[in-house]
Amino acid sequence: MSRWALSGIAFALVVLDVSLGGLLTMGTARPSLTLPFVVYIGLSRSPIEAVVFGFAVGLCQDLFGSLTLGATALAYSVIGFACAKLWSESWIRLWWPWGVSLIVAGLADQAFAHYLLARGSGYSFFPVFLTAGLPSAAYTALLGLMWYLSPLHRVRAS
Amino acid sequence: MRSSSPNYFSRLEWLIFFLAVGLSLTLLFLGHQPSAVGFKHDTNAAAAWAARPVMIALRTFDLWRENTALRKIALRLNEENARLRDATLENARLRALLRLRDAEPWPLIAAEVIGYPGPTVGGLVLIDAGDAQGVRVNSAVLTAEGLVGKVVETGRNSSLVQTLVGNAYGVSVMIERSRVVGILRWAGPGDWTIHGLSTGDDVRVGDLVLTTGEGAVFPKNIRVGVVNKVEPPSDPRVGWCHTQPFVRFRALEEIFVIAATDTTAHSENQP
Repeated sequence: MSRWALSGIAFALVVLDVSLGGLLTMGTARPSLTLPFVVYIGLSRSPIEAVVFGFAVGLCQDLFGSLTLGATALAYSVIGFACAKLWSESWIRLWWPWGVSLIVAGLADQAFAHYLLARGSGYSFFPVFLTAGLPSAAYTALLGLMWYLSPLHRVRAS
Repeated sequence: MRSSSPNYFSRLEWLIFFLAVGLSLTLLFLGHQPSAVGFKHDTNAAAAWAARPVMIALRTFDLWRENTALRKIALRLNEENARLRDATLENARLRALLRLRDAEPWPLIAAEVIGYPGPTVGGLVLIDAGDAQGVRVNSAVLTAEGLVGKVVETGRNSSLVQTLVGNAYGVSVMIERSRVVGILRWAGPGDWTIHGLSTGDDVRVGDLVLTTGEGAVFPKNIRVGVVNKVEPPSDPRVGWCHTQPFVRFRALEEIFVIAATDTTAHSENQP
């Protein structure tokens, strides 16, 4: 898939996440539509592309969303780079790279977002992370697994 | 050739990675600057524009179902309207006798919800009305069902609303039946409690909860919710009266913002 097509998909996902994310909410779990995309780029493209796409998607998400500018950009840059590096260079060979990466990335993203939220609003981090962060990470992973079934999903062979 | 060396690519990868991280951290630390906040408001307006077709498409699916429901409501309201007309005339006669001043209607700005940014416990919604439409920070936001929250940030054509979800602020409320006053606070997902009640206060399950109008945000007598659980009070600092708001905060579509005027400057903002 060309970079332009990926950029278009990324922008559409950001808009859908901002507009539909709340409607997909179940209980306290709110899925991220953009995180699976960043993980996908990390697993299927080079680390440079993963960082660039992660940073760009995260920055758009920050601009349209409620977190401070740079927060999601930081999280997605690190997640994209880590996925790409671990998958292409590390001696670690994951049994199920897509699922494991999605779950770990979802947890890391939610932990960081709720840490910032807790610092900014006076919430206690752990209760809120356990009641909202964990279900949201699980929900994101489930949605991501649906993408795994789609023909768009291609993880490069190591 | 140098550029084809794997080592060179590896260095370049790390360089770009640290550049992205550094840029993100810089934005994170400077994100509260007025210029950054202003820029974010402008992009929120762009988001409002970009998300509008998605929201319109979604709502089209609901139109028929909504139309049927509205016909039934209209029929019921017609009957109620006839009764209320009599009551209004009677009320006007009695107020004239008592020389009471009529309450001014709230100037309302209609808006649509165009996004739910951030985590669910943040309780934020993005609406498609902003400074240009007369929305101001701290303007009260409501629906036909009841109180939604207040505006916390405004852009030119969009605003961020903090709903009653999240403990960013408390709302001064009273029990309609007994006129007991307290502060409504979010106590966790799906749970709101009224603080500041005395142990002997008369509160029962099913009591209607209204705003008191104290402070400078929410006008008096806005419906908030209903008392759904009353626990035996142990610690007076802990809320023992649980309340269920009328509004479903995750299914908001059309909302109304009370435009800021001199006459509506009565309510509260408890820290």
